[in-house]
Amino acid sequence: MKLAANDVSAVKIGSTDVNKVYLGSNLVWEKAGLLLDDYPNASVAYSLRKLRTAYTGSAIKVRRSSDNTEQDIGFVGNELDTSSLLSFVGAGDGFVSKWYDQSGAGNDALQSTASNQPLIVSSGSVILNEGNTSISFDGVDDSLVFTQITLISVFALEDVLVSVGRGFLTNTSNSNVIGYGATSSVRRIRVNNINYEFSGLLGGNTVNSVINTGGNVSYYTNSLASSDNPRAIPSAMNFNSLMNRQGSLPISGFLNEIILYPSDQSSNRVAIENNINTHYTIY
Amino acid sequence: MYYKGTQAECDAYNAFVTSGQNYSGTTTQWADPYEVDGFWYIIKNSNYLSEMEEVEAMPIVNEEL
Repeated sequence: MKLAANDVSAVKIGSTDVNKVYLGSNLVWEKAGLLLDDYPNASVAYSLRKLRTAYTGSAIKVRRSSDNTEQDIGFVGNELDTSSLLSFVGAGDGFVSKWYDQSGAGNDALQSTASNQPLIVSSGSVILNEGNTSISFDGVDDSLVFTQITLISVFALEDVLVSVGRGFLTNTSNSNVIGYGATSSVRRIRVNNINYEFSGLLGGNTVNSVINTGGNVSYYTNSLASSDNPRAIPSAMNFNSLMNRQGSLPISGFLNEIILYPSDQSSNRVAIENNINTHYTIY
Repeated sequence: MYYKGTQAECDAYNAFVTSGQNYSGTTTQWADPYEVDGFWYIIKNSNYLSEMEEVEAMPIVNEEL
């Protein structure tokens, strides 16, 4: 029998998964790890799937509409435990009050104001966007806020309404944004009150990758490079919130996953994009 | 739906709703009042009524491009 490494998706002995296969002393196959196992050292990492094998915390904290009780919801295997989620919420709505940071830094994204919390269960059903469990933001006042970080690389799976000057990654105290530009026909990074527009895919479920290589920033949508890459952005890209620029310019739509790195992930970009796409089947 | 009033009225409405909702965990209040063109607005909770003027929506905030 001939077996190439690419043919192997899983090996089991009895009921035990095999993580590595050696031929003599040569490693010939290794089970793919979770995203942060293979590409570690993120600043913050929010997702509805498990991103790191060693992570033992929950995915989200949910407030149910029936009595405002909150409960942590974790994972079954590497996926959000939607059974526990629906059992807890019941026939009403479930709102995300906290999206836990899986990076290990403990920088959870919070929303302490009830009416500003995004939705994950609507009338007893988990929110699905293109088949994937998603967090839904209403575009009126919803947002999640975290301690400000300076990013060098970001990977995000979003499906937000194309909205002038608004975005999925934002700041409550300044106009920094990654999202959409002035004409609704371009992607935009706004930093320090200056707009940097990029051609790119607009609307729909999109894997966004933005990477700053020594002050030259490149934007990719569904792994396709913008024709405007790279653009020189001399200012630090500081962000502290999701889906609501300056706390008063919100955007509606869905988020599944957003991972920010303090380092240049150019060499890992395609692999990280592939990891996201393999899981969510976007393009 | 929103209530439109003064800052004090909106703050009082938020405190009124918050006190009745038994929030726990991360959640600490019902809503933030917003000021638009000199008026204050707060999103209505249908279980808590107020004598403030009720409006369909807040005026659109001017967008900074």
